[in-house]
Amino acid sequence: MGRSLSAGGSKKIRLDLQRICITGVGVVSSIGIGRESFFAGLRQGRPKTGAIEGFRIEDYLESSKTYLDRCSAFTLAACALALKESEQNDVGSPLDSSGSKALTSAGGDALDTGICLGTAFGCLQTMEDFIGKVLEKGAKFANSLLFSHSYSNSPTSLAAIEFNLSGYHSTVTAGEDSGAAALMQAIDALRLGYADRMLAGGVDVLSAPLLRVWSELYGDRLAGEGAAFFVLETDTSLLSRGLQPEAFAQVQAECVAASEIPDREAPHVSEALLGFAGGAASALELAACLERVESGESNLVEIVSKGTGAARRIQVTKG
Amino acid sequence: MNRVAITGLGVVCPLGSNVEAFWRRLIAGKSGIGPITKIDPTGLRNEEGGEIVDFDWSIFSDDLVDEATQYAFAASVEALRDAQLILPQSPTLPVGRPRTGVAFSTNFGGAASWESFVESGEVEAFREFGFHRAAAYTSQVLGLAGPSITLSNSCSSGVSAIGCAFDQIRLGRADVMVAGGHDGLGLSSLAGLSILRTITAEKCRPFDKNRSGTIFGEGAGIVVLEDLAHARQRNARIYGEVSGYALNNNAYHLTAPDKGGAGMAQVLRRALKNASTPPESIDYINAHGTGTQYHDPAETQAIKEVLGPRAYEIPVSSIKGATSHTMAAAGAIEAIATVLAMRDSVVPPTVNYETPDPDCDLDVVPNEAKAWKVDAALSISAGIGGNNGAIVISRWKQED
Repeated sequence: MGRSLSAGGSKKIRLDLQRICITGVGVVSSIGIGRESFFAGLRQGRPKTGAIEGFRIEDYLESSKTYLDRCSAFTLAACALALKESEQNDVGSPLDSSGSKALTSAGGDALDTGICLGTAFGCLQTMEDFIGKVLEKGAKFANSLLFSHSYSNSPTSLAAIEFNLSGYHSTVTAGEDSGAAALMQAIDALRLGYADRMLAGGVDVLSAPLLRVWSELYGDRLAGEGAAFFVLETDTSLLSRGLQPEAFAQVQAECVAASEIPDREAPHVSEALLGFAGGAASALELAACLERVESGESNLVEIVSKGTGAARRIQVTKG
Repeated sequence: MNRVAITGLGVVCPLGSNVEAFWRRLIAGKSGIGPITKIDPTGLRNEEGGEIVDFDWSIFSDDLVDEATQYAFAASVEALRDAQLILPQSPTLPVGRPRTGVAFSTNFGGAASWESFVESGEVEAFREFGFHRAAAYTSQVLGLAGPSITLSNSCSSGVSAIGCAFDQIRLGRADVMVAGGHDGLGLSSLAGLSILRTITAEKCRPFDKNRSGTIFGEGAGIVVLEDLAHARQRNARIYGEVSGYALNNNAYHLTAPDKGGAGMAQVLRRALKNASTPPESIDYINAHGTGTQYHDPAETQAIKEVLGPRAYEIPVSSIKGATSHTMAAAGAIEAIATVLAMRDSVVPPTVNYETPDPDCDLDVVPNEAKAWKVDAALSISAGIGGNNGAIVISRWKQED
């Protein structure tokens, strides 16, 4: 369970290491795809539609793909959008749909970029399609393409290949807490000097196997899906690109004892509009937080993700 | 930042369902690979695999718990007992530790439950399949209230989980982390890996000229990592320290190996840098060594590129011919073998090694264990999707 709050009563998380800035955001959701459309959807309170309709991966990638699970497709689209936005901040840097050309400092040195992706269910539809064929026809007739796209880390690896992300690399599968845990791992990676820049976020999609058990798992919560990814950078990385960290929203994360978090129901702002999106929920909510700080509604917004063990608190600030 | 000690070990693998059985048989050059009995192997490239055969299922009263969760939980209990953090006679007694967390990893979650769900549609099977189920179960049953996470970085998962746990302690979020990997054998994984021709039709022969693939298996490897100051305060036995680690991706191809080993070389460099350990200080490498045609020379090349002349002066072994490739458990089990090599000053053999390969021209410790003092070691992992991981483990000296 998670929620977002205006952090009136909570302390600002200690920030004595690197400042981590958000320089790009990419969202795939049922209320809008892309930053502006998603933010507009939040402001307008577009009606609930959990499933995303009309999504076409070819609208976001230049190269065509033989096969993509929907989870991988959402990941690639959201990462492409986030990277494009991040690279548009670069003065004089040529745009490249892959984002790879832009990932350089002002001096032309390649920035070390990694990715942390969170997903509760991964490529469940491809997993089922794969084992379904094996059960039907036997192991000898297994489909290698489906198998290689069925791993829960397949979306992360595909993003690394697509956008040349050869740095720190991780896929988090911590249930509903996955998106928050992935964001926190990426922030840690930057603070610990493992990377200059990280793509981080969450993704989950509606699939036939999940929908078969949805009501038993989640009762009457609206079945949602989506992806939200952020380009996170250290202030050192930003300065190397000739950019001012103060111009960007900052993000911080820490663990807090679950017992310190009141166990009251306070649904995500985003869930109320686009349904519950599993391991993507925290990342989508963080995108909603970003809208609130960038619109000036609040200068400090936080999400708390309470899964197993300690809770994770992620704050977004600006100004 | 906090230093990180290793104070407990737990293993469930085809060589044995506890650390000492595993280590005794590994050092004796035995193999845990045998006929696959738990699923129908018809149509697979090899009807042998690494199954768990001596596991005490009676410690679980709840039959619904997936076997992968049981492996992880049993290895966790062994590791926590070894660290003297829970009592020997109370395997499921909550330890109630608010600053103890869990970092697990899995490739396939509860594979048996997934296949059961696909056929039955039962929600309980779906819950047991969940990737995070083993970590959640272990946290809940043992009362571990610190950070809890599950990673899924294909066959570098075990190292990834240990690295993530290392970070939680370094950043002061936990005093103790229970960390490692687990996977159960299932038809899905075996059929997929068979059709990708990663599985050999013969024996798994890492670094041998006639190698033709790997053999997959199941199990769990769990370590207890602990803030060094916390461990010293309670006079815990310290096996060694995790000095550093690194993760990366080849960013090359979903299934094809990076033949030049550039991604692996980069991860080795970064792990050594993170550990502040110069290449010349490394005196043992536990290699990923799958026994596949392209992986082993790429890994050899990466080791030579990063360690330079030192690569020819130290032993390198792959234990996959003995343990089988236990997927997400592999990196953790191999890290445990590395710790035990440090403890006993003996490095495990690379079994089934017969014919040297000029492209894999390191000292791969053929077939028999070798007496060798280990003060600093690298354990390397890699996996489908281009994932790489490496961890540096160092001997802890009282005067440090």
